Amino acid sequence: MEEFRQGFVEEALQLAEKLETILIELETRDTSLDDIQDIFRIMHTLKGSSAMFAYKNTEYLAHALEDVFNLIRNNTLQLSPEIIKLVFSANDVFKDLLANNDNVGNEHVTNYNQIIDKIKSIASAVVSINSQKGTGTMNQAIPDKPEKTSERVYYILFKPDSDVLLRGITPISIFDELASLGQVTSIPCTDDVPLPEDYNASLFYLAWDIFIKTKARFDELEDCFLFYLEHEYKILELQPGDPTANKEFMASCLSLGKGNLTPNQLILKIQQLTGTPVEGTLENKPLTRNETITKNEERRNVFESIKVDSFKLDELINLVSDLVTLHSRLDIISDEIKHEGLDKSLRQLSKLSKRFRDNALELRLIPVKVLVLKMQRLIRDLSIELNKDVEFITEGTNTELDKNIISRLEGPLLHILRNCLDHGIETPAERIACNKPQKGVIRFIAFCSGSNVYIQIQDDGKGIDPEAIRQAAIEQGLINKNEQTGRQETINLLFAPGFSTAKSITNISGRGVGLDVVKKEITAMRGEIDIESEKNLGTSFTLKLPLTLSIIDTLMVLVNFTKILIPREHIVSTEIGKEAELTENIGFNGRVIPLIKLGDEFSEGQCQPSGQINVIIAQYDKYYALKVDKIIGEHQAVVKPLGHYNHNHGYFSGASILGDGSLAFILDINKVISNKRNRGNIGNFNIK
Amino acid sequence: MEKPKKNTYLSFYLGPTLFGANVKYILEVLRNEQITDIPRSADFIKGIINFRGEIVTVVDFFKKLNMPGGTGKSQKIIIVFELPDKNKSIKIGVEADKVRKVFEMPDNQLKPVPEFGKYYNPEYLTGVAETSDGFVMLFNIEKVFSENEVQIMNVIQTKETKK
Repeated sequence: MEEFRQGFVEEALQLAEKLETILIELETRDTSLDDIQDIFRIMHTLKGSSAMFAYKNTEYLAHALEDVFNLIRNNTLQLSPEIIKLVFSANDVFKDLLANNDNVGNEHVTNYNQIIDKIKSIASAVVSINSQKGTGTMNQAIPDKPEKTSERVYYILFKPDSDVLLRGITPISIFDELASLGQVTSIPCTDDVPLPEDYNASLFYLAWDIFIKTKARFDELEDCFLFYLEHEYKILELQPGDPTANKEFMASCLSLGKGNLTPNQLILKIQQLTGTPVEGTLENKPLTRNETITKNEERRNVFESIKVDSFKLDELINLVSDLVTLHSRLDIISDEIKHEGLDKSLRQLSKLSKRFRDNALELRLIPVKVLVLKMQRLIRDLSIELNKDVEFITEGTNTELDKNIISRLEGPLLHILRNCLDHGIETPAERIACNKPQKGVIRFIAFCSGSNVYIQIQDDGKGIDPEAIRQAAIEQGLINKNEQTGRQETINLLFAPGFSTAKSITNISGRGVGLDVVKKEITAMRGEIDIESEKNLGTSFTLKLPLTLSIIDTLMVLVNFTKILIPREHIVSTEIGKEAELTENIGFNGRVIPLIKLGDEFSEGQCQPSGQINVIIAQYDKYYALKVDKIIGEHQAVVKPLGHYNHNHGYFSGASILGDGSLAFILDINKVISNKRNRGNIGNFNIK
Repeated sequence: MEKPKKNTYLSFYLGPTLFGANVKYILEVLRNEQITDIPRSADFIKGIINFRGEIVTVVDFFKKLNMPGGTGKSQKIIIVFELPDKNKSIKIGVEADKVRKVFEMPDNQLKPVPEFGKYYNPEYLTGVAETSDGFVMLFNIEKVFSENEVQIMNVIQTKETKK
């Protein structure tokens, strides 16, 4: 049972997320009937499933909202910004309820009740207006007022999927259920029944147009279809009068579309049922049946992707890694044996395992789009809170990144956005004063280049004033008053630990978590972050991220007989060192750069170097030379964790198993540099 | 009458002393395994091995448990332990001199740990089993490896700053 409950919560949360997506879209464009239908459907599903799991509060809220959207759906109520706002807050309550086993936390009780009250007042206002007018079209509102009024006529399109019998459902039983509710007339549609040679007795081919005259409410009818998928049925209320006025009905009715029934015959049928003459004829009315069909198809496409436990994916990647390792071991053996047939098969295996690896890695890639929703929400909420007018533009949201990176990226991205909104974008008044459009723009751009993914967040706000940064840094003792800093260097002070422009601390940014944390997180993913800014024009953050964390290209070197892997992305060049043993710096391209003797680092200065190769590496446009004993060659490393007790090793981020089964360590450039710097050997001219 | 609960143990030598561990924690005993030294790691870490495609840390029990002495010079073995953890299991290797045997021992026949001992640290033992080989000191494996990692990391860091 617990398992099912988990499933329900997960599904419900997805619905809530979908709702949020629709709502955010609604704020930027005109509403269409589809949106309303979608929201209504979400509420309906949520109501049903939460009732099943006895989530009373959730059910109650969903029911109330369902009623409101039913009113909107029937054009009885206009969707106003106020309602959207209400649904936004209701959606938050949903998420809260779902996360807390349907318990309304003490601090939220008033909130919850307020929302319910507001929703009900909206719905009941409409109902009372209508009953005053005497039209009384609405009879299915508000859960605690189950009004059963006069009989009405519903049209039901019932088209079970062909595999309905395989699901263990007998579609015919629906007629008994409907008959218990009222008077039923049905017209079968046999269009999908195939020729005898194609006939498959286990499949279902029939569909019906059903007309029912009943006192039952809409949702009671819908409950009959509990076991059918959303797209298998459709219930429409036929207003008294000309049924042809109902476009949706005209579009749905099967018999009409296929010409099995002339419009007049149809009217006759309805007349027989209702006992009242229906005015008008159906002839010469345009049919728009195709619309519904395309919509159903769209929905089916969504089902084509499947959900896989991410743990299983990790397992798959591990297996692939082992395959890659085994393959390189086979290569070594084959070199010794020198058998032509074996060589050939191995080359094929090589191609195959490479493709296999790429495919497996691709499975873990998900589009950055999944982050967009959270960002939109943040911007929406913050811009209201800060009274700023902001448009959020996204580009390249289909760019894909490793799932692990995406989940770790969320915090840093939201932090950057908070900065943009709080410090970057000006208030509308300020903007107008600067001759800028009143509406600020924040752009999120993602693109792929080589084996890296770049993400840019740009705002057209007031930009960063280097002088202000400099002053703040001096006040906070991060730099010396007399120290000269270049423009970019000054801006980079924003990333210094503990840096904060004290005068602008608000409750949005400046919560003590600075950009230094963002940088740390990005660096931990082997990524880089840069800021560019022009005063009064705006600021741009650029994040450079690796596509995946599980495999990296490295250069294998030997240090004290230990195999070390240096990530290729950092390497600029290699050279044979000629400087004397004691130097701390070497010359490179006309500048003096620090020389880090890895051998000394690893053995605390007690080793006898057996070679003298300098590997020049770059990080954030700064160059360093690593002294190693010998270069072995390139190696595509499958990253493995270093094992228990070693997670926070001072120099290595992981290890890799080589073809011969031996192990090599993956050097973490950032750790090496910060270790060295902390011990003062590099000198502190590189404040960042 | 209810049968007394029995557990199965593996006995092995660490230096001259015979120790034992519950076999439910033991995955495999490896011989002739190449240990790769990790530069600049904690002193109780012998290095890492490639165990079925996974990297497993090998620990020196003498240093880890503050016991005097060390393993002998002869060829050594590695006992790979697996312990349950929050979301997945932890695998840790321990270097030992040689394996003695596997034996069963009812819980009610275990003897309490002597308060002092020359070659062991009583903190990490659950009891003593008397076998035909003599006394076997039984490790409390979960306790041995549940040591707060943070503490260990602190040790490493102090080591670095001291330099």
